[in-house]
Amino acid sequence: MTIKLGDIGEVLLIGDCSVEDADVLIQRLLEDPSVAVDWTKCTNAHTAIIQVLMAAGRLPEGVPKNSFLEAMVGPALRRDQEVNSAFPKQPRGAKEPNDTIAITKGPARQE
Amino acid sequence: MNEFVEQFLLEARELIEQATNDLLALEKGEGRKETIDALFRAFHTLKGAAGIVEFAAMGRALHAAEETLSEVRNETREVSPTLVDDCLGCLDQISRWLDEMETTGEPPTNADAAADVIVKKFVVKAHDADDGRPRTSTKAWFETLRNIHGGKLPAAGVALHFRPEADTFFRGEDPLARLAGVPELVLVDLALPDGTVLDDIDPFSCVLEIVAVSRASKDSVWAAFEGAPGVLDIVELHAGAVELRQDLQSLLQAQILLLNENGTEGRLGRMAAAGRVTINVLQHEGLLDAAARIAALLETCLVKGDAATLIAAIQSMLDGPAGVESAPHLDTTVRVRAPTNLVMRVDSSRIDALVNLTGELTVTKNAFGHIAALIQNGVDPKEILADLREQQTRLDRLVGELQRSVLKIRVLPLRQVFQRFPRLVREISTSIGKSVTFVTEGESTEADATIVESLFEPLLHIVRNAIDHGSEDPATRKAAGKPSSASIVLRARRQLENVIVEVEDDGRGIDVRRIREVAADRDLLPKASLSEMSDNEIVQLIFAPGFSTSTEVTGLSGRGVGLDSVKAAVERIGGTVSVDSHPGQGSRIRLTLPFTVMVTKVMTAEAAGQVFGFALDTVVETASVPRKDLAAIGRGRAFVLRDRTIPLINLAESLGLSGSQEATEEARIVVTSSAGYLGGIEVDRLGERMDVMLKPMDGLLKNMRGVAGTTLLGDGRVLIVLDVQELFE
Repeated sequence: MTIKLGDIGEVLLIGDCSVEDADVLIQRLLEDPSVAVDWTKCTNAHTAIIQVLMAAGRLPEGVPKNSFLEAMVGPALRRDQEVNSAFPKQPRGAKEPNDTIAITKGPARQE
Repeated sequence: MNEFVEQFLLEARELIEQATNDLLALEKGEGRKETIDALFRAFHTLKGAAGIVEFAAMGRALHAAEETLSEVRNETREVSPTLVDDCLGCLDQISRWLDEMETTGEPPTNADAAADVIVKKFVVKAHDADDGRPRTSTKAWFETLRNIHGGKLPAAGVALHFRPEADTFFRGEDPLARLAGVPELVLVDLALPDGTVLDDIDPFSCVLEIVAVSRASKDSVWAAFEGAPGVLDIVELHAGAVELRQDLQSLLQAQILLLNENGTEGRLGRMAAAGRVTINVLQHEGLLDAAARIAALLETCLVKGDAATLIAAIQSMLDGPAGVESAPHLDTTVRVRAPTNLVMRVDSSRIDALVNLTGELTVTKNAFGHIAALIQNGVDPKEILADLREQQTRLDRLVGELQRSVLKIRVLPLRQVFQRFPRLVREISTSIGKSVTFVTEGESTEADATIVESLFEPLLHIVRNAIDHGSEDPATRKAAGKPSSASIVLRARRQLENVIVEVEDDGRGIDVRRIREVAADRDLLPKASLSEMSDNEIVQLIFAPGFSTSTEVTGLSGRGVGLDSVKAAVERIGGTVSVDSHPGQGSRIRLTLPFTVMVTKVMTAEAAGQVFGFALDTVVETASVPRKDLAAIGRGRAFVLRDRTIPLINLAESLGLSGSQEATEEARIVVTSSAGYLGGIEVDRLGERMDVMLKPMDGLLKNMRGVAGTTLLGDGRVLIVLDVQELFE
């Protein structure tokens, strides 16, 4: 379990937050929509976790222990929050442009 | 450097030369099948060699080229000029790596980016072949990206859009982890479909959309997302504004100032330095493509001796995107490499000759032992005299032969220099839109390695002149009834103890009248003597310092670096240069070079009790001047010799030795000439003339100034031979 509650009731993302933790995070955020999220101790966050944070409109506090999260994902989340500069959301199931290159569905690769 | 690397460098260079020749032949359409096979083998062998020294980046680059060549071999692909250019570019990059390896002794660690550029060239070509044109970047997501982040996009790199499959998490995939594997990310944007709320999100279904920008190559993005379930779209970013910090901008501006500086002295050095700084700045900022572009330009500029395009390219980077786009893009580069032959290949028959000589010398040595024993046993020395003489004659002959054989080992065929020219002539003539048929003759003529190695630059200068000034443009040639393609012949032959190298063109020849005019205008010689000189004598004036008759300044030549530099370079290796011209029919420049530079004639002189040597070709004469006639000028001294004032230095003083106390009435002076200036060197005593095998200084003493080399005197003392020019500097 890497989603914990902190001293003042905030949600702490600790260590390597995996896809299983996304469900827990959703529960926490639904329980208290105004709860703070802190990722200071987060060393890695699965795409599923980031997806939940975005859906909740949350910008985690602190500086994560992962340079990719800090330098790339953090700013992306911040931009997503700022209404005007956010990357426009695509309607669900938008058609792909025809000339994109599809990647063959190979066997899943464990990272 | 370990033996593997040494051998690798040697072989790789040979393979590169061979592949280059094959590529040029292929372009001309010569012997297709065999040439393609040979070319393919050369690339293949190079790749194998890269594997042996564990140089992965080089292997990768060559593999990409080899794949494409294999398509050519299977006749599924045509040979196009672009293909030849790409292959030549690949070989150029490998040569650069080899240069680095030669200094460091191991494969460069930062070669991946450059390898990526090469791989991309070949792989992208393969992709583009599908629809025949590069993909356009009018995708909606890219437009949006540009609208939001326009100013932050790098000049070179890629923008990517990835939409993972919904069930991607179930396959154990983490799309953001894939993204984290893309090198040199600049920015990331993430988006969920509109209306996604926490209440109804399925945590195990991926709905995220990823947009990112990286300075890395398309291929490294492909590699990072390989096998990831989803749809990946990549757009390559081309010339855009180069973002540079203020301090780096001013650094680049300083380089432009440096490049714009006038004066021919140290020009190439300045250019190289400014180019290097620019490349470093760009590399530091991660603008690898731009850095590679400048590196290519720099080399071309160094060959042409003209920095204009380099200045334009740096300026346009400072100016912004529009400028960058208009900067000339050169895929192929012309290289000047000062070859440092650490290892030489020697014909085994020459080694055998040495082995035989050693055998004969041993026999002679034993004969002396026998004679010594006879004397010891009380045989009258007079009876042995004839025997002794005979052995001495034999020894004399053997030592002479040994000397010649050893010299032969240092001998290289001129092919080593000549084979670099077809490629260069192609580059130069294409760049100025002239058609040139280039022929080399007598490549197997041999000369001392030192001579062969120092021939490249003067020859390049002459050939460049022949293309640029000598040959007319195709239209003029046709009007004059000549074939539209100019012919330039680079020829070598042995003539007694000399090696003759000629560059002959069938161009317009040298305009003698114009040379007379210019010489008179510039007061090179008094008018009276000019009118007395024959046409042939006048033509030789093109080698005078600062003489250039070209009225138009082209990008190639005519910017003040004259043929005098050729003359200086040839004279440095003990040769002479002359020109023969027939107006309307062409001209021929001839270099007469010594076969070897090993045997030097020296004159000895004594100072502070030590014997020193001067190369005899720098000594003009010796003179005795009464001390009262030596005049002090400033801190130095001078004397007058036949109405000329000649600066004088004291040898002992200038070498930091305690001067001699001998108070002679007359100063003994060796009058020397170097770089066209006379100088006097005061010595204590004049010595003798002798032929010596000059041994250059090496190790710690290699860079010692004022010393040309050493040799042993008959009595076993070391004779230091001085470099006169450096003494006066």
